[in-house]
Amino acid sequence: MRALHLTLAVFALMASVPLLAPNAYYLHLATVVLVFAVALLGLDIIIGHVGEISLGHFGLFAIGAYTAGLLSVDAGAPLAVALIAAGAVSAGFGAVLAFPALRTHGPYFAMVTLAFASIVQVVLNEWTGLTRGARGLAVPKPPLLGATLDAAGFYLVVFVVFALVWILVGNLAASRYGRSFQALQGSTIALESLGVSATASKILAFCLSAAVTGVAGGLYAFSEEYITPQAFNFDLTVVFLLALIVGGRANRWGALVGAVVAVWLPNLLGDIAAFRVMAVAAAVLILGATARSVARGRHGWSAWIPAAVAVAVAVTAFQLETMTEQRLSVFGLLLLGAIAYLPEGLVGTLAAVWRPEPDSTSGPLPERGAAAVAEPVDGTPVTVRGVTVRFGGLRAMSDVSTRIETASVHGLIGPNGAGKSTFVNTLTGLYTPSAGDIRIGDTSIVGASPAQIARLGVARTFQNIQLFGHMSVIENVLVGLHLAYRSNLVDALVRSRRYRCEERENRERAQALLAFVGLAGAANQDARSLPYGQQRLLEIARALATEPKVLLLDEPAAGLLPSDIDALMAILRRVRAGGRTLLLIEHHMDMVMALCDRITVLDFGEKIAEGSPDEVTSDPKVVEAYLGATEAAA
Amino acid sequence: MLTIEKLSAGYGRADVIHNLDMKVHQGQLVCLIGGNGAGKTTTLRTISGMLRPSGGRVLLDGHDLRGLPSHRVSALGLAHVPEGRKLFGSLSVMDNLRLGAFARKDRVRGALSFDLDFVLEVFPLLRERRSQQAGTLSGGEQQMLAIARALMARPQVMVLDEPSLGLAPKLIAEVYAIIARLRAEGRTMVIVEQFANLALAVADHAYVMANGCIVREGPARQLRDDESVRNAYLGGHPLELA
Amino acid sequence: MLDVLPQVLVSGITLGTIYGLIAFGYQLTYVTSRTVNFGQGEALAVGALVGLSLTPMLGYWAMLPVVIVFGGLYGLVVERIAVRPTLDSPSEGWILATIAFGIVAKNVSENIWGKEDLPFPSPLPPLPIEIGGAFVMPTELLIVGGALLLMVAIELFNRFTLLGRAFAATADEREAAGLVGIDTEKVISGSFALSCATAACAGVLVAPVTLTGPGMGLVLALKGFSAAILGGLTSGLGAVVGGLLIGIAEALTAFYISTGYKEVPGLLILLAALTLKPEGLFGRVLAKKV
Repeated sequence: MRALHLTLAVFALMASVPLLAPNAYYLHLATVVLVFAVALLGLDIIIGHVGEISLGHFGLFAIGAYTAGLLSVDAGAPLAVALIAAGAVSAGFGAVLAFPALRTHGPYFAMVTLAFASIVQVVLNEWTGLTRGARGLAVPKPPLLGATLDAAGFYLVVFVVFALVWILVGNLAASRYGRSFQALQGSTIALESLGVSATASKILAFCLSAAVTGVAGGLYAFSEEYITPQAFNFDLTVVFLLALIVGGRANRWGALVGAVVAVWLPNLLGDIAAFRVMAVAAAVLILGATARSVARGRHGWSAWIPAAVAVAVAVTAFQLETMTEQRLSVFGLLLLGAIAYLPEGLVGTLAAVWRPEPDSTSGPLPERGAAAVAEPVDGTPVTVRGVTVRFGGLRAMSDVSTRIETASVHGLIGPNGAGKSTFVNTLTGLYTPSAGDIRIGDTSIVGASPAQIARLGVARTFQNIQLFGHMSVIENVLVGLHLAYRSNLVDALVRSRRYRCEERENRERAQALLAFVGLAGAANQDARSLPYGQQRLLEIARALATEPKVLLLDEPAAGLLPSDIDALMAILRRVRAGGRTLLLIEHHMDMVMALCDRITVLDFGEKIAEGSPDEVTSDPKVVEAYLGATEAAA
Repeated sequence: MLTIEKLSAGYGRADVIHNLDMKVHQGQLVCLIGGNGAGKTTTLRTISGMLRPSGGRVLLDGHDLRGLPSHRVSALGLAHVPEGRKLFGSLSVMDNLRLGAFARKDRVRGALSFDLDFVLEVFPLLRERRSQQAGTLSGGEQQMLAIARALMARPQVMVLDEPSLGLAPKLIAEVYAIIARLRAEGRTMVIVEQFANLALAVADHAYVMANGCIVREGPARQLRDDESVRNAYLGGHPLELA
Repeated sequence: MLDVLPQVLVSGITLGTIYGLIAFGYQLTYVTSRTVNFGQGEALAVGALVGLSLTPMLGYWAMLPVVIVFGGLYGLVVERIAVRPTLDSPSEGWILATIAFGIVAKNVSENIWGKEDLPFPSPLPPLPIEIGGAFVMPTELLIVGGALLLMVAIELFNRFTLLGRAFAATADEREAAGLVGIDTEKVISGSFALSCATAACAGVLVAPVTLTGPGMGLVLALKGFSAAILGGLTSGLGAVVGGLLIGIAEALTAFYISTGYKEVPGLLILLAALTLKPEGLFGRVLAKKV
């Protein structure tokens, strides 16, 4: 509740800026702050939620500005129409941009976005017939409902747009869509394995981010009343990034604080007296912090570098009459300092100090949900016929056929490199077989995407754990429940009744699944903070959330203590009892022997044996390939 | 040779290992066993300088290793075969071996080629594969190369982290045969192993870890016959089937 | 129109080699530390400006090695101030930190050399040489030759010296490199030194044909970055090919279509290439086992 009060207070203050601002200059500054804040809320969908650095949002911002500006000037469109069109056109370009960006990460992603924006800039400059080119475009503020907009009125328009975007972006982040964006950052493979298309999620994230940034661009055009292609350049991207990093990512307050810093800082640096005070204060603070950490013996001489720089800046401040020429240097140094000392941004750092420890006690166990987990489902048999998988010249699997029956545990064993994981990865669509057929029930899945196969009721866990580490334990399970929702994006954005109902039900269900694997008490922890064994259990809970008919477990006991293995076996027995089809890859033979109804043995990509546990372990070929080591070790 | 006194370390603020005391004598093979999450790997990482201890110290042949980064520890004669092998995958087998000797001060031609001949004799397979990219080797071959790379440093003490990890039983036996051979040559080694009876079969002395502390210690033979150790730590390993 | 094609190609190759050299600098640091200096353009400009100031004292040829050494030192500072503190943070702080360092470097050089672009005296006479139907300026030959020489030298160092192999080892497995005794922090510093040295060298090589000023690097660096990404950041050969592709596309467009759009085809090639091959033309896929 305290957070809501704070939000209301800040918004009330923002609404009253036209009354408080001493003159038009400050009112304009406040307008630009809010325009930037809107743009940053859009950018944060990519940077904070999807977790990629975009250098191209200045292009989307420019598209929004020109769309709104041209519609208003050339077509006489009203303000609202111009702004909506700015968002829509920008969203369209965002969708196009998503394609080359789909499979890229890090610097590659940054370059894709930058290349796009550079093309936008060239086109705006050269297509003079439409954009007036380098001469620029004058965009007077259009009337609103017949009345002319003065600066104060326009500020209020921007404020309303900002407040709307604030609410929508907040709802988005808390919804299943927001969770799927964050999951992209954790593991796209895992996201797909839960039936959620990573492609669709990324395109949606791009569209929404671009739409918001485009609206901000439209507002910018009307705020400045004059736009040129040169105004939208690489420097603008740097300002956006600076603002978001300094403010704090994945947090709406970060966007707002960042916008304030980015717009107000240059003005602040114009005042030499104020700057001297700040420089001395910064130097004293950094000196003190460095002295303390050096006294604790944590660093060598190089720890003094930042302090030395801060002192040098402070001394320089008193040598200079004016800061105008050195402004950018100070700006850069501040940025360096912020990145080094506040990696979570101003808001992130403050939040970490004030945020209470996550509540680790869970509520009463929802019995209804717990019963639902054990509820019988119809499993589906899996038929594999003559499947061969090739990587280049290498045959990872050759001509393997088998059938995995409903309500059974089918074991898959074999030496390392025998093709066991290849089998699972082929069954889940990560690899495409070069020959043969795989059917889930009656449906062939050859050539289907991992998400399509998951939607047929195939879920899996991973040998190398693929959790969404930075999301909470319960959110991980909720991503698994993504397809359980009937409400759509609009419902989520406006938090309709239907959406809230579903969200509550699914949270209960997720909590029940956690209880089922014994993780009810850890629901609000970060998934990455769980011990290894519990991470494996969480993967099982997340896979079960998709209500699979077939569950594939790739070495679920790897790295578990014997006592954990007993618990795991109890869980798997209950899953089988529900009627599901299970495939178990495991090296722990006692577990395989105790659980499996049938076992397939692979060696060098070929099936060398299949049968009941007893048949398989007495097969001389199996002993030779896999178990023969017993004598060697003894 | 290697002495560990009251060693504590961890990630972030919380210690994962607490107040460990261990001693490894010249020519001894010491094993450190315990379940996953017991702190075995953390102990090795602290010994070899990948982690800073939060308390206590490690002495290697009288040198205090406290606070030294891993490349300095390596130069003092401790070779660490890391969990998961961590080979230089894009480099050739030979380059991996040459880099194994990177920290040596006696990097004269004669000494190096002598050691190279030695490891290629121990691992004849690597001779066949010497110009192949290390990343394209099979799991077993990679483990052999990782041990060979460590041997190239001519270390005073060699520590091996889970040499059986991810290997099929047949290959595990091969790796342990090599370890037994190295022990017979009088090398000083510390082995961390999840499959306790594998390690106890080759070791002279053993430490048992649980929850970041050493809970048992004694001659390997004695621990091997100890009922409580058997029950707690020998379960679930693939060689026990038959 | 076609008869001038060789001439257009010559200018494309000259441009492309410079882009390639800059791209090569990005690749050097990326392989050791998975980071690049986003302020590489400023390293290039500062290199050229230092070269401009030194030429009257030392002459062009003696100035070259000094500028390369200066570039190396500059790289060490970039690494120490902007990269190392952010290297282990999960966020991509280094992108911004290196941009910030570039902002400071540009502003400082504006205060030293002024904001105006200055002419850089060419060391070679402006007498074109005819090669295969195209006229080539000696300066252009110097650019191509100098850039190739530098890249070959670095490539030889990386492949055939133990220290070079240590660079590659750090690129593959940083922790394991430490375990065999490689000081990986020094290797990463070293790669930044090499990287900025190539940028500074690129600066003095192009300066005679462009103008010299604190802002000269931005566009060049962005194109070098496109080239590096197009070729694949893990590949030295990719850097050169990427540079040539972008340089030639730019020259052809400028001549046959319009100078205003000269950058667009190169960027479109980049986008198309990454859509099909997200790791770049020659990039290595760092496969993740699941």
